[in-house]
Amino acid sequence: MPTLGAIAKSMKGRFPIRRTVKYLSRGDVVFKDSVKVMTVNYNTCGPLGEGARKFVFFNVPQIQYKNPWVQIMLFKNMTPSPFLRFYLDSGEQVLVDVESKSNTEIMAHVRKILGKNKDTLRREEQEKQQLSHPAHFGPRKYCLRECICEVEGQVPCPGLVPLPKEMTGKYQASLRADTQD
Amino acid sequence: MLRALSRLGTRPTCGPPAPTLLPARGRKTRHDPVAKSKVGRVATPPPVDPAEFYVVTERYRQYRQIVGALRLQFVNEVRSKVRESRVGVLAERKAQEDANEHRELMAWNRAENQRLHQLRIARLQQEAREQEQRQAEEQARRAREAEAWVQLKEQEVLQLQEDSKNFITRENLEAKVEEALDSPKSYNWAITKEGLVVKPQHKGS
Repeated sequence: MPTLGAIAKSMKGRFPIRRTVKYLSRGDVVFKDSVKVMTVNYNTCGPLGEGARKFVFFNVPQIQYKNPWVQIMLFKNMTPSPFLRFYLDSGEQVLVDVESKSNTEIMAHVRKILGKNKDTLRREEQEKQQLSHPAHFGPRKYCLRECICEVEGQVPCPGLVPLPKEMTGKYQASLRADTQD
Repeated sequence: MLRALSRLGTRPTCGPPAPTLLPARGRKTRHDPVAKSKVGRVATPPPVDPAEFYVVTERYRQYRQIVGALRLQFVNEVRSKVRESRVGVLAERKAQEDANEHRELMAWNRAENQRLHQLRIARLQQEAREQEQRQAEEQARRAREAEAWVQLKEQEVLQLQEDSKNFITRENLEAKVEEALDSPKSYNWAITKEGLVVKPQHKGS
């Protein structure tokens, strides 16, 4: 658990909560696989572009966290009104006008037209869980356990705690040899 | 016997290569001569029992055949599943539904953009009307101010014309002097802070 001093040192800048994993994982816009690039044109002043500015400041990090393979580009003060443009893999471009909209409205709009819905996300989560069986043994990267000796209640690893003599193969082999003799 | 079996056993063509035993030279390098006690030594392989050899090879052959068949079956099953998910009937139907849904959402997006466009046009028109109104009011105000200024100047000119009738010139200098001498004025009065004129009450001279 980091100390209060460490937390205070790392939480610097305007709204440092935007840099926390908890905040980023709260974003619920997961783009469809066909979306490759998202560009945001907005202005730094003007009452009508306030929603776009807030969208860029608060919501774009969440979107990028949930869609690490989507390229996001921001352009400032290039056009009189703010808009979003999405480039799909089929070459289609989707224009979204965001003038006089709040950042929550923009997020809802984007989620509706180009985001995966909750059913799709749940199905993908289930498929991902099915790929990883909790009962499998193997490398730590893919499985929960590498050996049965890690499970509580089982025989401990002979590399750490020597096995009793009766359970070793050489003792049983010597017993068999003695009986044969 | 195991060495003979390993020479005859089939190896799977696919899959990762099995780790082979590397020759461990131990104490001597490959360039050192053979020890005197080992000169003439011929390495003889261990004896092979033909019956046991036949039984073991047969069992290995059957085992490898069964395992290979099972592996092939599982691989084909997985490949067919992948192919089905990519180009199967269900996948095509799903792609069709996705395309339809995408078209509907794009149409909704275009309608939304159109609505915002109309709002923007209305707002710009409203702003233009307000701008025109402000300009008209500004012009009217400027016209009123100019008119008031002209009237003020006219009043000043008329006042000056009225005052010029009482100006003292060379012609009426003598008459004005006589008039001033004939009408003496008393400047012996004071004014209080409240603005009241206080004149002396002469009782004598």
